[in-house]
Amino acid sequence: MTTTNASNSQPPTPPAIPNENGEPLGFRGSIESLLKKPERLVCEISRGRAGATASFMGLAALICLAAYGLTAGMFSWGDQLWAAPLKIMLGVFFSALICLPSLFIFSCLSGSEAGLAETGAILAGTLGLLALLLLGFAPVSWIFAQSTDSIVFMGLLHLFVWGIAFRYAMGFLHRAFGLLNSSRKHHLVIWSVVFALVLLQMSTTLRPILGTSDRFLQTEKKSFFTHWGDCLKTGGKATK
Amino acid sequence: MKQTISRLLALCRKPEQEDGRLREAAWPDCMIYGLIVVLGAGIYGATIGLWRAPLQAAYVFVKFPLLLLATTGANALLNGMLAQLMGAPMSFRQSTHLILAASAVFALILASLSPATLFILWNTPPLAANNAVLSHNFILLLHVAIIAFAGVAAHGRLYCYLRAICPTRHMAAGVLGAWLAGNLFLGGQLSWILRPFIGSPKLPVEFFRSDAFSGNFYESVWRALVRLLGS
Repeated sequence: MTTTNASNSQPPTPPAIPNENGEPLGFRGSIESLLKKPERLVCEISRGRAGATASFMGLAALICLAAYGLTAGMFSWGDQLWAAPLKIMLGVFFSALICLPSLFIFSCLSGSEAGLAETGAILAGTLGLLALLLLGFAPVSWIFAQSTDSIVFMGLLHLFVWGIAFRYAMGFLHRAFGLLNSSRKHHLVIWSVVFALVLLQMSTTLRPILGTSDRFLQTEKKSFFTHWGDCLKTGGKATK
Repeated sequence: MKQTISRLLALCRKPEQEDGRLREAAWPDCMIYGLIVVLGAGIYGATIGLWRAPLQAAYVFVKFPLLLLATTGANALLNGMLAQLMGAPMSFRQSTHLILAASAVFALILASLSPATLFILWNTPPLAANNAVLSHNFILLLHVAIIAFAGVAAHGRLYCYLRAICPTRHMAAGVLGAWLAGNLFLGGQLSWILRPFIGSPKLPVEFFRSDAFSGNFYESVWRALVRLLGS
């Protein structure tokens, strides 16, 4: 009992990873660790530097999502050049905020010792990796955006790209909680599904992200599935 | 408060390490679990009723925790007796404590999913829309899926608690099965009496239906089956 209480009042024990000098990683170091050695980032979080890590990761995610959003906006140009990046940044961060409470409880159920601050930092790291990978795909999506008029094709391309980035981001999340003693992974898998559904619905709520409209947001309530069904039926062509 | 939250999170994280507290079954712990059930299930309950009307949300905020606590309370004696009959070394207070702890985990999972549910609800076509019945069915399925997941996870926890107290796995599984059967049987009927939760688009907002005490859940299921097979 004493052990458990102690583990709740202090940051979780740093995971056993290759020897580190204990110096703060900083912005650049955090980004490098995210791609090369995620264990270092988790170690940083568990050393009581969750706030700083979350800030670095959040900032990196914002920058990368803004750049990716710009390439998405270049499909339609005009107002979408600022609207698409803004919607993508807001959408991803609001989705994360909505899902943070469930991530904390689900990570506890999986046996993880991470507190709310550490969970938030891991989620920020997950978003950071997601956004970094999206940035890597940005040139690909830009080239296609300049070569096609089909919203459906571009929508499917973005979904494909998001799917790959999401898969790697969830890999980081599972590994990070695994290092913090999470042993029952199925809870985190279920949370991943919830997060994916919220992200997909957010893309519909904030529509149009691709294509043009006379309004910033549509007022009609639609589920993601209905929206995609409608798009596929009309096979929408965009005015570029 | 901080210590309370720590204890609850410890029950979520490493139930097998909490056997001392589970055996002790202190009343303050029971009160805390009850409070978490009221708040957690109440918050989620409000999201269930919100699609129909704000008043329905207020009703379900009260009714959903009431359903859980009434099921636990009404079956407390039976559950304690069943556990003892099966040879589990626990008192009535301990059995009630374990079920309340699992209910608190259930309520905590539901409460943590409330923001996501609320977001999806906010994006569902409103009651006045042409496809209100379709939306009602979608909301029904969504809540069934979430409640089923929370129920499975909470019973997984309850099994861990029972494993910490019962001498054998077989006994723990037997007690869990007996409790589950009793609670589902009574819970089904109580949920029938306390209906509506989501609220049908075609019926008025009410705390209880006017025919709350006429018929029962199982008769209704039987009639539905007969209609289905007869048609």
